[in-house]
Amino acid sequence: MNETTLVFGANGGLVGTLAAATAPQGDIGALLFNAGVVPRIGPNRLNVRISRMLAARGIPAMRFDISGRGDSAPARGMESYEQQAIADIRDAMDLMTARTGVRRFAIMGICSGAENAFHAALADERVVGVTLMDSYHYPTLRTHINRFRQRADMQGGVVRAGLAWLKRRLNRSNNGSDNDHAREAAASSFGSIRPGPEVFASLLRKLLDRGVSIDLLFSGSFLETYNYRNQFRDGFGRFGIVDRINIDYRPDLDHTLSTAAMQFEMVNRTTAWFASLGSRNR
Amino acid sequence: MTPVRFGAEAREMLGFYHAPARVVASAPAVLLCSPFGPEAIRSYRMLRLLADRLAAAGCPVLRFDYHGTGDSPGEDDVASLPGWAGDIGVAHRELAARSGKNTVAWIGLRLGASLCAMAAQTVRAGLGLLVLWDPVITGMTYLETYRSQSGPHAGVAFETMGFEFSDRFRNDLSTLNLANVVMPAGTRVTTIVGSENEPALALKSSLAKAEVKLDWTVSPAVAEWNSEKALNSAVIPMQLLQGIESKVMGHA
Repeated sequence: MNETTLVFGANGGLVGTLAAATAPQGDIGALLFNAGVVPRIGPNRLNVRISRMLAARGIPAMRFDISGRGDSAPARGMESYEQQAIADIRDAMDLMTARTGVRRFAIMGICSGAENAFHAALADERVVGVTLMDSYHYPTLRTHINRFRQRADMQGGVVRAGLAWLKRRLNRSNNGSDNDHAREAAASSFGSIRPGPEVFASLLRKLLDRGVSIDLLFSGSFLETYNYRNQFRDGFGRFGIVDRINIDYRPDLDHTLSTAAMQFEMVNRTTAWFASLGSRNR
Repeated sequence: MTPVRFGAEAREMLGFYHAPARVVASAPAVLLCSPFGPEAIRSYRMLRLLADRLAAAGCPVLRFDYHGTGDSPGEDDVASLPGWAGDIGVAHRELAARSGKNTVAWIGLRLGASLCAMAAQTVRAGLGLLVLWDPVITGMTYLETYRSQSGPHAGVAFETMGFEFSDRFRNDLSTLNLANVVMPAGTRVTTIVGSENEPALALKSSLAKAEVKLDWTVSPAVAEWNSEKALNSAVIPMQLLQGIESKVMGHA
């Protein structure tokens, strides 16, 4: 294992740890960074495990903190959070090129990190792959029906579930917060602005047409907004891009990879995906 | 802030050295000792901010990840309380050498505080102040807290939020009782607890008997560390940070 922790970026405020490939294979580097407020080590050290395994398989990997997270300094400029994250990811790519020679990159993102990774891929043509866990969710009619059925099973029948639903609606109205769309949008995009499905589809198409490999992983933690295997296909089939994307609904994984078994599965799954890029993106 | 790798090759650690922003001859060097697992993730940014504040006030500061934790080399299965207490001693010497300071203050949070208390038994030279911040007083209670959040998972005896607790680590924890750790007489100890419950009072009594120079603070600002709900929140109790900074500088 050969790891170096570096301070980098335009303002010298970013911090990352580069795991050098033991026997370099291909010309793609891997980037991993924060999931929400979790430091660069990732949920329960997930990013440490993944980057070490990637390095052992010949892929240099860097885990780093974006501005204001973990060890990195707060942003100095006036960029939005999203724009600053893109700038930070670009700085990380520049550093990896300088240190390892790789000029193409694949990025893993979880939660809000998935959204950052997605936007960085759109902004920078050096990105040839993104694996995004729990990025934007687009519930379908079947999602809502499934959720109602799940509640009915838990609450002992359709009538009780219906009454509970009515009670929730009334409470929301009484609390003056009856804004289903805003609430659902927030839950589906972890607080950031979720693009409409047409916009998201067009952005995905843009990446696909550029040859970017896209892997969308959905955990089982968000039953309100993603709860069956073909949900993405149902929601986006009309756009003609679904067959070009790897879509994986994994109800056995939760959003924070909270067990050792989930961590093990996620490490193996992710390293296999990164390793597959070398042959696909030549 | 400079990344530093230190320790023996087989037990290397990653730390960050915060050079003092100005020369204050009387300011001690400060070693920050992290909690374990989910608590370390949750408090990470806070400890960085505390290091920045102390460095701005003139203290050289080192914070680090124990071997096999955080961003340091090593895997989870090396977890052991005596091993990590030994890491504190190594970090202490690293900080003293880098800063040129003869006096080092240790600030340990949660399990980091317990490890500091253990390490203080063997590292006496140059230990100017020991801050035990919401210490894990009884390892059994700590284990029970996590056990209630842990489900049985195939092939793993005990884990919580993705962190595996090996048999050795559990054994270490099950015998941990800070009230039984004899602190060297004359050590300056500041203890911050959330409430004076039974274990806290037992610790207070034990510290009094050990004839340490005790500063005992009960602060409601001690945060919630151990919940799934808190996992996605960064804990920054600013008032408490200011208080700790004052104690460190006041000692100086």
